[in-house]
Amino acid sequence: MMLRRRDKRRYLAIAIDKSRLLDTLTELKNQPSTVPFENKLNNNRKRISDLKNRIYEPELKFLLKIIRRRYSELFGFIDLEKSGIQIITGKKIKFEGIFILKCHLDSIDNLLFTLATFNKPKITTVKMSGTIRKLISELNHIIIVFNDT
Amino acid sequence: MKIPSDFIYPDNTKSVLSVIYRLKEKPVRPLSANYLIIFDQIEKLFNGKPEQFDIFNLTNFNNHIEVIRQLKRLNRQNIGIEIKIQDIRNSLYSHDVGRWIRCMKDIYKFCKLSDNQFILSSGTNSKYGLISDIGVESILKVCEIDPKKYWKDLEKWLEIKKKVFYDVAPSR
Repeated sequence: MMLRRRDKRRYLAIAIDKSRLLDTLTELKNQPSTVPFENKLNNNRKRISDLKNRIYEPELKFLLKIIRRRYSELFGFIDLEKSGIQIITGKKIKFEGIFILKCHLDSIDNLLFTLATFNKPKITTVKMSGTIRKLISELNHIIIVFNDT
Repeated sequence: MKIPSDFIYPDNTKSVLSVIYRLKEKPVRPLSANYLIIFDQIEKLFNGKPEQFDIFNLTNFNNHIEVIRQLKRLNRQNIGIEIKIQDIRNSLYSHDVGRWIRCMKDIYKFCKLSDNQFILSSGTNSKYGLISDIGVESILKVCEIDPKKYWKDLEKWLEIKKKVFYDVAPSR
């Protein structure tokens, strides 16, 4: 008999230096790449210049791409596909320089390791939770402290 | 050496015993807080016998086997061998991370065999470089080190080091 249970997940709030993200994008813009998404970014210069003010959804995709690439380099493609890493977006998630990642519980250690050894841009894990609702409510308290430091 | 409670320092700081300073050499005067002496000069380690230190900071992962050999030659106990996550973050390539893990495993093994302490620290200056406790534990798990054992050993080591905190350099 098959149990119809979905895999347990964890939601991670990560903080990124926005200025560094811009630097990374501009650096990668000058490098030739085989990844089609990055080539698309290279052609669109206007969008990168607008990054100073706000981060668009394509940049979130770019962020996910570089995290997934680093993860696959460290742990392999099979583990990457098993991990189910995604970026969560939504109206309620509007924190300055903070993004939310979703990952399966089995692969959480590998993801945390990947984030800890991330070089450009530097990423730090702010909070981890089992549900988005709880994570957002806890983030409201943490971000005030984090932005003040 | 006992420090008087009304001792005031040039920077007007109060005595905070939970803070541990990282110093390059022994202070001439007693400090208001605990301190540990950091040593990071590999050349000195290779050439001669370095002065007393509490923590050896390993920055180069390419010659860690040679460093282990030199530390064995020193034959000292209860020193901390520190590896900073910041050093690997500066590296661009993922195969460096693999080499770094091998280095960490070798250093941990050496520390266990020679009664020294393995220390993993973020080594960062900015808030974006900070590593959370779960992050540190995940790194330890990837390196096949038991996090609970690591924290327990680190606590014990700090207790041992407390006995030598208030030592000062001889007057010159």
